[in-house]
Amino acid sequence: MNKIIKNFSILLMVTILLISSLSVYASTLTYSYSLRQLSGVPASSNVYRESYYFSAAGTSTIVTCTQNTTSGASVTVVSSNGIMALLNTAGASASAQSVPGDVYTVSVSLSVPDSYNTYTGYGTVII
Amino acid sequence: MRKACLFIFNILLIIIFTGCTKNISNIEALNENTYEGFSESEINSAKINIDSVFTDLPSVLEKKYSNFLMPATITIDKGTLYSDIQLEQVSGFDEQAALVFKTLLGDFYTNDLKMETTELVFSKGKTIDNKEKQIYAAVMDNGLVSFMKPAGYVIGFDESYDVIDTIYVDRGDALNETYELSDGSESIQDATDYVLNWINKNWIPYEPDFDYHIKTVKIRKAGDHYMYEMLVEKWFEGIPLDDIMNTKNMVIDANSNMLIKDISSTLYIRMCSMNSVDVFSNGNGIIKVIGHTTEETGWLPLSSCMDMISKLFTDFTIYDIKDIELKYVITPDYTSLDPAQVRFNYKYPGIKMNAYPIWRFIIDKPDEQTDIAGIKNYHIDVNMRTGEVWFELDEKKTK
Repeated sequence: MNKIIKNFSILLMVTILLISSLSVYASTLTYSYSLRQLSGVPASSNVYRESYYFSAAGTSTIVTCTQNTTSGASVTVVSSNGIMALLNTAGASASAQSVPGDVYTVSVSLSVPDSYNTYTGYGTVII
Repeated sequence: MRKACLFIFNILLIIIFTGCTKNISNIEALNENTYEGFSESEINSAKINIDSVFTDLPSVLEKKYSNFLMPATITIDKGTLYSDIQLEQVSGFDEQAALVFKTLLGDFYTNDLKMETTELVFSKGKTIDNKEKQIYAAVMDNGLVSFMKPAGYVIGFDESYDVIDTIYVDRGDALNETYELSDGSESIQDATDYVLNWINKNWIPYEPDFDYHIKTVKIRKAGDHYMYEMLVEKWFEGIPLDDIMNTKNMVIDANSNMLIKDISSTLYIRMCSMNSVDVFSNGNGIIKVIGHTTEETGWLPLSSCMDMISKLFTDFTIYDIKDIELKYVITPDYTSLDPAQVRFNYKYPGIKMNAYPIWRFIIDKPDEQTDIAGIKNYHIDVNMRTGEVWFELDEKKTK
């Protein structure tokens, strides 16, 4: 029993150490987005994009995108530090290198298969 | 009788709701936060000579608008107005990285700090990252400079530290409060004086075309002490460049390139310990002025712009204008890049830009909704030359 407690304590300490080492540069920004493409409207004349900017906190930027999207639609994430990903599953993420203090832009846009139906996508972008 | 009363009541309801929705159709017609619907004759008839641009300032503040509350006073510096300023992002700035590190890090720069080459997708440069000495610094080819000294190494650019207060230096807020920094107490006045002296001595040699003015100081709580976070504007001949990064004003082209049309150019500084710039970034890199032009005629005065936006926006909401600013909005010229080059990045080394003057009407957001790269306010911009309106009145952002 004592051994289990000892091992658990060591594991706990290692976890705390890992978390504290990660806290250097750590920063989280959460943006909520809501996107919609109307049926019968040409995609080019429709707005279904949100964009944000952020000051990078670390040498790597991870953009996580949670979403709830109409079947068939997906969300494309593009950032000015090189992220370009099609996220079609909830909680998907993409990453790219960054320089702390550099200002980057991230954009989420709704990708739709046709213009005959109305598509929506909403969720959060976490940087 | 009862039916008659119900009929009258319904009629009244219709009248009330019709009245409330006055001008709402205007708002709905605004596409992507811009409005270019004023007639040419309406705009042209309002235009005046450059010499008269500032003469109507007092009368604007005294006038009553149905949908805008005006500030009691405003401070607008009457600089030299240009209709267009031509700018260029520097290139190859990383070649002088060693000198920049030495200048900006001061005594914290020692020969044993290892300088490495860093290549990102759209930029390259030199970086130092010494965890033992708690020093980080970067100098990139487009003039991006950022650093963190030991007192600011862990804090860095993390914006999760609570904002206790925001001091609007540009609005003449008092600077006499004193806060406990990591190694002692210092007044906001002394801190801003120090930072301006530091910029004049250490930064101006690298970006000499501008004067530097502190716009805001945020006081943030960092553990059991505080830090000062300063947003520094770049002024060209008396008028500031834009401090708000307007990411909504952008298009994504057929190749998925992100083409932002409205960028900011500022310095961002955190003072965590007494008389020390502990965290620094110039965000969008270094720009230089390569030319400017002006016109004697065709300027929209503040009073006409105020009348225009008052007509444009609904009476349903009353906007409390906290400040009015004269600014240059910066627009990257993506055609100045070789089409074969990556056109993804608005601050690509060597990219040309243009800046045009606007009147900006500021409506403050609560502190918890501000952004790290600058004070983020609701705002309505009116192009002083064309009358085009841009507004940012609602942003879905949480922390």
